[in-house]
Amino acid sequence: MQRKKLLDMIFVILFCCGLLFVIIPISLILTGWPGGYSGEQPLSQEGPPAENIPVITQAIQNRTFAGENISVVTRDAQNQTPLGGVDYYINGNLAGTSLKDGSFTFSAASYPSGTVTIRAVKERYQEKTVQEDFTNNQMLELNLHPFGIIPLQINGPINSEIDVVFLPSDTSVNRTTNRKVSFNGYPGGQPQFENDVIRFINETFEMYPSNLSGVYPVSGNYADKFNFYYYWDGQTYADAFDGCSGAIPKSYWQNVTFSDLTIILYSDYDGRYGGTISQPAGCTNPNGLGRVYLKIDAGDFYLGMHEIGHGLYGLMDTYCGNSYYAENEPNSNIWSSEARCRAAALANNWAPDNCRQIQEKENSCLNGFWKWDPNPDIMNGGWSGSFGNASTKRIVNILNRIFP
Amino acid sequence: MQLRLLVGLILLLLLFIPATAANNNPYQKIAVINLVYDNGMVKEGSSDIQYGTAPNLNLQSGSIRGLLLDSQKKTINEFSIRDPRIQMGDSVATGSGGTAQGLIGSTQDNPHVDFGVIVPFTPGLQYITLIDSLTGNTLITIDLTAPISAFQQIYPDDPDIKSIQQPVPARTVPVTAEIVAIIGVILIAFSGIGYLIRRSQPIQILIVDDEPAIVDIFSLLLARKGYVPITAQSGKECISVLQSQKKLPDLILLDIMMYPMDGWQTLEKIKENSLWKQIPILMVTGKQPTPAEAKKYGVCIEDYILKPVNAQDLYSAIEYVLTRKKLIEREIRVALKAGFEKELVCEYARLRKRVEVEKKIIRIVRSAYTTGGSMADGMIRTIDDISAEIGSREMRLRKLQSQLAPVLSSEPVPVECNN
Repeated sequence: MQRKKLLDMIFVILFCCGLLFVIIPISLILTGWPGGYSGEQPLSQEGPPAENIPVITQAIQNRTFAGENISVVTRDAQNQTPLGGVDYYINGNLAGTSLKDGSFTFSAASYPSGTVTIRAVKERYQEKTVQEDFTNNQMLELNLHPFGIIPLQINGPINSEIDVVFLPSDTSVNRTTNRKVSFNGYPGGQPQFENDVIRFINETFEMYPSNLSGVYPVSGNYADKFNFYYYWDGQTYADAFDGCSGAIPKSYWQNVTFSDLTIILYSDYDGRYGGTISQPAGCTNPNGLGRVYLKIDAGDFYLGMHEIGHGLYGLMDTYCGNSYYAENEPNSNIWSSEARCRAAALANNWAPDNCRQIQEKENSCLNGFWKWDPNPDIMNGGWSGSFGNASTKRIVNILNRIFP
Repeated sequence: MQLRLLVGLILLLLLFIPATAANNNPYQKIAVINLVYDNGMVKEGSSDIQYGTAPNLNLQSGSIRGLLLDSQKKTINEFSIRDPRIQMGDSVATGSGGTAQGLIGSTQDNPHVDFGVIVPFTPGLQYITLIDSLTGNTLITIDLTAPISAFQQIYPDDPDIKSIQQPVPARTVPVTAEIVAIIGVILIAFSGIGYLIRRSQPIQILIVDDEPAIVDIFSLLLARKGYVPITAQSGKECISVLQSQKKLPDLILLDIMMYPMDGWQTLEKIKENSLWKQIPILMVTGKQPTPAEAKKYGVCIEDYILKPVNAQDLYSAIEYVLTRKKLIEREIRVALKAGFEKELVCEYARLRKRVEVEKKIIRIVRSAYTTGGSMADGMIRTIDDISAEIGSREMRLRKLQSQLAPVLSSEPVPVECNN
C-alpha cells in the first residue's frame, strides 16, 4: 500500500518538476531573457571598407538618431510627382509602403541606434538606397528615377529566360571617311531607338528559327525563351566605336545586372568606304558573366545574326581571316583537325565528307581548323545564309536549357 | 473532366506563383565580382553583395569554369564563361559596286582586360572559383566574407542575412532554455505514462490453498473477472511468493486448513512484515472459526468466507473488500483535510473495518456452534463476551462516526443488538 502511494507521489513530483521545467524557460523567453537567446549580435560600429560600399552611401557618418516618427516623401525625379506604392526596406527588411501622396512614416525608435539604411523600391523605377541619420532632421525626401530598363517583350521570369538588353550608342562611323561620328544621343531619340530595336528583334531573333537546320528541333516555343528590353534614361549611351566592341558606361552595369546579352545598337550611317576598315562593323566581347555584349549596326540584320551567334551561342567564325578559332566544345561548330571533324560528323550521323578546311579564295587564307556546315553559312558570310547542323546543334542545345 | 481541368489550372497556378515570386522577390541578391585579366593572371578588383538579379548561369560554355562554393568548399552551383580577353570583330568586305565579298575578321586579344562575374547570392555561398578548363589551373578564388560582412552592416535586418549570422557563444552553454524545456516535457510525459500504466494495471490476487483443484477453479474465476491470479499451495509458498514478487498482490485469498503452516500461521507471518501487512486478506475456508480465532484474528482479516463459495459470492466479497478499502482511505483523507486529529481518524479507520468483520465472524461462530437450536452454556458465554466486546467497539465507532459525520459520506455501520 505504502509502495503504491510512494509510486503515486513520485509520479506527481515528476509531473510537477516537468511542468516547472517547461514553464520557467518559456517565461524567460517571453520576457526577453538577456544573453542572446535569439542569437542576435550587436551591430558592428565599424563601417565597411570604402571600396566595398556602393557609391551612394559613401557619405555616411555613424550617428545616433532621436526616437521620433520619421517621414519619407518620394517623388518621380523627372516630373516631381509624388510616388505611391514605393516599398521601403529599412536595414534590409520590408517596413512598409508609401501612400498615394508619396509619404511614408516610420518610428526611428523601432531600430537600434546607429545609421539606418533605407532602400526604396518601386516597379519601373530605379531603386535607391540611402543611409541616414535623423538626429536633427525627421524628414527625408527621395527622388526615384524612372527605370532605365524598358521592357519590350517579357515572356517569363528573369531568372529563367534569356534576357537581352539593347543599349543605344551615341556614336557611329562615317563609312565614307571611315571616321567615328558622335551624336547628341541616339539619332532620332527614344522613339527611333525603340523602333530600331523592335525592327532588329524581328529581323534577327525572330528569324533565327527559320535559319536553323531542321535536324535539331527547338523544344517548346522559341519566342517564349526570350525577354527583350532596351535601356533608355536619356543620358546613358555606349560608344560603339571605342575599341572593337565599344565601351559601355559603368552606370549601365550597375543598373543592369541580369543581362545575358547586351546589344549596343548604333545608328546606321550611310556611305561606302573602300579602304581598310579600322573598326569592325560588329564585334562581340565575352567580358564575363552578366557582362557579355556586342555592338552592331541597327540595320545590319544578317551580321546581327552572326554576332548573336558569337555573343549568345559561342559560335566560331567559319571564314578564314583575322579571327579567333578554337574547338568550342561541347557541340563545336569548328574542329581542330579533319579527323576530329569527321569523327564528330559520324557521331552525329552527318556526312563526314562535308568536313572541309577553313579557307578562303583558293588557299589565300588557310587555317588549321575544319568546319562542316555548308555555305552559305551565317557564321561564314554574315550577309546571307543559314545555320548548318553543327551551329544549329549548339544553338538548340543552349535554347533547350531554357524553361520559361 | 471539368474537375480535372480545375485541378490542372490550380496546379498551373501553383507553379506560376513561385516563378513570379522568384521574379518579384525584392530580397534577391547577387554577388558582383569585378576582375582583371592581366598578363595571364586573374586578379580581384572588387566584390560586392547587392540586391539585384543575376544572369542565367546555364547559357555560356567556354574555356573558363566557375564554381560557387559554400564554406566547406562544396560546390553549390557552377557556370562557364568564354575567355574575356578575346573580342571577335567582323566586317563585311565590299567590292566595287558595293557587293559583299566576305567577312573580314578583326580580333582583339587583350592581355589586360577588365571583366565581371555576376552570380546569384544565396545564404551559404562563400567562395567563387574560376578554373581554366584547358589546363585545370585555378585562376582565382574569391572569398566573399568581407562583402557579406559589409552587406550585413548595411542591411542587418535582411531575412537572408539574419539566417547566416554567427551564433552567440552563450548558446554553447550546455544547459539552455531549450534543453530544460525538453527535459520538462520528458518528465511530464514519463510521469503521465507511468501513472496511467500503474492505474491501468489489473488487480493481482494471491490464491493460497493446498488443494490444486481449488487453486485452479479460483484462478479461472478470477481471470474471468479480469483479475490476475497468482497461486501458492502452502503457507510457505505464499511467503516465498510475497518475497519474490516485485509487485505485491492487491489481495490474498487464504485457506486455513493447510499443513504444516496453516492459514492463521501464514496470516501472522504476513502481518509481521511491514510491507505485506497492508495487503487485504480474505480467509476462504471450509473450517468454521472458533471464538478464540474470531477474537484473535478478527482485527487482522477483511472477511471470512466459508467454502463452498459460488463465483458471484466470491466476486462480491472481493469487490466489497477493495471498495471498502478505497472508501476508508478516502474518508481518512477527507477527515484529515477537514482538520480532525490524526489519532481520531485512524481509530475510526481501524474500527470501521474491524467491527464489520468481527460481527460477521461472530455470526458464523454463533451459527456454527448452535446445533439442534442450542449451544453449550460455556460456548454461549464466550460468544457473548466476544459480542459484548464487539458491541463496545461498535459504540465507539458510532461515536466517532457522529463526530466525523460532517465530512463522511458513508452511512453509519448498523448496530446490532446482542442479546
